[in-house]
Amino acid sequence: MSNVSSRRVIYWVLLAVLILLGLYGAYQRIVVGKEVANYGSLVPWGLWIALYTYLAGLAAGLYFFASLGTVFNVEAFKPVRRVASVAAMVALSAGLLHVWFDLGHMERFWEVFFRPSPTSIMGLMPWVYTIFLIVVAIQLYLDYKGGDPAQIKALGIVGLLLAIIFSGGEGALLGVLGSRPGWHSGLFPIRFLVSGVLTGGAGLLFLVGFFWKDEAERASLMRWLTGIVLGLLAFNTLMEFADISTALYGGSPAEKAALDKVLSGDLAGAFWGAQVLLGIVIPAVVLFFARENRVLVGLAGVVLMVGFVAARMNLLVPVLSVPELEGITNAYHSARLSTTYFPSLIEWFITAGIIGLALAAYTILWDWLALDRPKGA
Amino acid sequence: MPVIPRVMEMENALIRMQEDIRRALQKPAEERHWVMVIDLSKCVGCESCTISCKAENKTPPEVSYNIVLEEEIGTYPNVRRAFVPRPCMQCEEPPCVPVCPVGATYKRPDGIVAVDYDVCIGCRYCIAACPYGARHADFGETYTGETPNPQPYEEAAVFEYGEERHRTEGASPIGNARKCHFCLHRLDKGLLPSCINDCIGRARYFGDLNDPDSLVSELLGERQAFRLKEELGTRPSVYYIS
Repeated sequence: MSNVSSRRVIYWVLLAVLILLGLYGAYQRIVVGKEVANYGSLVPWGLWIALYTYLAGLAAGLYFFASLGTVFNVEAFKPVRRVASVAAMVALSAGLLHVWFDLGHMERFWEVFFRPSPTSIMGLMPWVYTIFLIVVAIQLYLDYKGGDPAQIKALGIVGLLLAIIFSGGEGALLGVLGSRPGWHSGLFPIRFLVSGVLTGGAGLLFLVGFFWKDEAERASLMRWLTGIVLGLLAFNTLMEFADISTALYGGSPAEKAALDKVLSGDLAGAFWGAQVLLGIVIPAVVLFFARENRVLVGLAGVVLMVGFVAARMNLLVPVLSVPELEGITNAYHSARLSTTYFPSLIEWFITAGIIGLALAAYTILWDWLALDRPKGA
Repeated sequence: MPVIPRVMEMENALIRMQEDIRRALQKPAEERHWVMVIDLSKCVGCESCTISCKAENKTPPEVSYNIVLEEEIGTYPNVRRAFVPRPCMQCEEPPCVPVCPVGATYKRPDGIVAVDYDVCIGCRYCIAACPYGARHADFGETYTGETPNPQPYEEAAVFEYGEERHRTEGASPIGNARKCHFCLHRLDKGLLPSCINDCIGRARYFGDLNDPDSLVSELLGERQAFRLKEELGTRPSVYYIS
């Protein structure tokens, strides 16, 4: 027991450190302004937007697995419906916090609610997120109050549709830009949707592998999850290969230049080391050969999630770092006109703070709402 | 036929363009179509357009509405340089407008793509969407900020979009997306955009394409012209002739 307590103390100290770093970063961001970030006019988005799209996808994926229990009546997933739903809400909120810090005018975030442009995917998305969060909150409330299962299922269907819309919408947000040949692909919404469900599955593998106490439920869940995650991992890899190989073979110079940066340029380490090794190879090997080992499977889930953060960065940054017109980089001189991007310390601090805050909130909610004991509600 | 001295010819062009825009301003805005014509054979890459724009709009280091792209053609020692000035293209189908989540970027009836600094949230989606790299994020930097304080001219009033603003304390346009607007504040007063005024080789022309008597209509009628990245269907309002 004392062992568990000391682990918990270490965990909370770590979270406190992350949150303190975040608070320092937030202070710098608010007082100094945008100068603390390393993105610029050539690479206008960086770590925060990559994590926003990643976390929104993760939220959609987690909610998909909750829906397997609430909407599709898959018995194995019924016990984790609350774990997954609350995790989805927390992940989405963490993603939205990243966007908030990214805005040039943080104080004007409310404009997106009161004057959304109907032609902008980004303009419509805040409403989709908000309605999703409200729907999931009501669904959880009814679930805890022992409400009508038909109502809970109906809300689950609405929530799932919204999750599909915003998850695919993240891909569409980039895919619609004809000015960026590296993104302009009809596969993008599908890729974002699939990778979202995949990371959601990986997140659940971690939670179930490490924290689920009921052995029978855990075994059943892990059988389902390893199968789904392996299948989606194969499908996602196939889609990535299709996109990369066709672009390499017949893509525009801009597409090829972006891919060169990823495959053999300054981002090669992030691609081969993080995206391929952590995001594909290690999880695939563990889930295939050691699926009975709950600790290894849980760790594979974490490793996969980290690999997919790198994948999102590799999708975002290289395409932006290819100048729209040849010669732009020599036409004037400013640090904001760099074709390379690596997040600043303050960007990392703010991300650390948001992740710390999200983990703290989720841990408190886990205990407070007894997320892992849905039968007793 | 008398030969008009070069200086006179240039002055005549300026006077004529001035008259063109004053005539255009008599028409309803939706009947105007402001275009810029750039004669690449006259551009010497002096960047006077860039400096003129900087002086007029007091843009910070990370923002440059006008740039001049340089390309080296050939192999040493048989090389020459080509210069392509690049303001905002003021596209007829601007990719930056539909993506703006709050409608802060919009197309005016006269064809100019404008930014409402008081609404723009600084998401930079428009920067990602522009195929010409013509949009910039204002990060609040200054040229003289570490000397140790910004010099007064960096915080002097600017009159973009007809509104007086001082670039201080994180107030707009700091935090916003910014772009060339054909010096809208000058146009509304019947003045030419500053880069047109200050081009030393008279390589840049400006006027109303919907006016058949304007100098720009005449130039585009007589000369072969092209626009950048026409395959994207953005239909820029900046034409290049050579």
